[in-house]
Amino acid sequence: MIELHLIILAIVVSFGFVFSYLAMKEHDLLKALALSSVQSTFFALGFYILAAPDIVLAYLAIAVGAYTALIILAISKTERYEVGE
Amino acid sequence: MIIEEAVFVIGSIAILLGAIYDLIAAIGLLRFPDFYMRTHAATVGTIGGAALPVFGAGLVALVYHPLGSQRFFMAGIAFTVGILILIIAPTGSHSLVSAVYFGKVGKKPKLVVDQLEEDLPKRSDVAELVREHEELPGEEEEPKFFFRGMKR
Amino acid sequence: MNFESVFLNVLYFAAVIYTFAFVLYGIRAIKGPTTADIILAVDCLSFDMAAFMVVLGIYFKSIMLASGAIILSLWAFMLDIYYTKYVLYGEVEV
Repeated sequence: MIELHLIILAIVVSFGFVFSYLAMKEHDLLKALALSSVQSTFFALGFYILAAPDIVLAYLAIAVGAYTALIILAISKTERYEVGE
Repeated sequence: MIIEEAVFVIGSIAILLGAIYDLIAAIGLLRFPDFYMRTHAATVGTIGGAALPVFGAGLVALVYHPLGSQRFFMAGIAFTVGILILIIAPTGSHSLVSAVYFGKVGKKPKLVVDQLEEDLPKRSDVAELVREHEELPGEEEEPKFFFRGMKR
Repeated sequence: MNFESVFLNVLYFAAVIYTFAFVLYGIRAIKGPTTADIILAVDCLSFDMAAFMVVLGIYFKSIMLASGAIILSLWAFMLDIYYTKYVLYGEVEV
């Protein structure tokens, strides 16, 4: 059973890495926000498997909830597409 | 106790069935061609794949003796999560589909019957609403009937 | 009937299938042509992850771990609502 834990942890953290890279390279800021929320959901399961429930509680409220709400508020006040080089 | 074994077996079957539902929904979400069909697969995944195994886990936790006296807390958490998912998941999917339809996100697939199209606000209607509103002096209110796609 | 060994087998089967489903949802989130597809994948992913957390919490014998599922299923709803409000009305008030 312990190998299954480690395999799930490895898969989840690798997907989080891939999604953070994709969010960094994206020019549409709303799409980047959605990709970033996928990354934070995967990392929440990673912290869960590492048996840290207090970090899971804080990380979910910040990275899935308040972060996305604040960034959508900022996008709605400014521009959606990143322009220029 | 025969009752405990029966409850345990029912809960285990619910967990296994939920896992299989989840796999079917994931394959459907990956393979379907357009957004509305993907929504069909996603709602299978949320109700059959999340609410059903949570209720099954609650039934298992009620009779799972290695958990000690904490098992009633665990069953309470499981049933709370199940009821929350039953309330929240259809609301979220519905609002997302309404955003895609009325906001004209992406490309619209070929539909055989589209009865909702009459309900879309025409551009002339919105313009007339704005013009009526501008005639009244001294009012600052925005028109209520306003979508983002109609603005330009 | 020994509950613990039977539940271990059930959990082993379910964990493999759930992990495979998470991978497929992740591939859809990478491929998704529009933003709505990604948010739909996040929605499914978070609800299924909450279910998996409850099932895994019974195996770990800890109620502190399982209480993360309530928070996850509630916060994931917020993203849908804010996306809808941004697309339809253009402005978001917190």
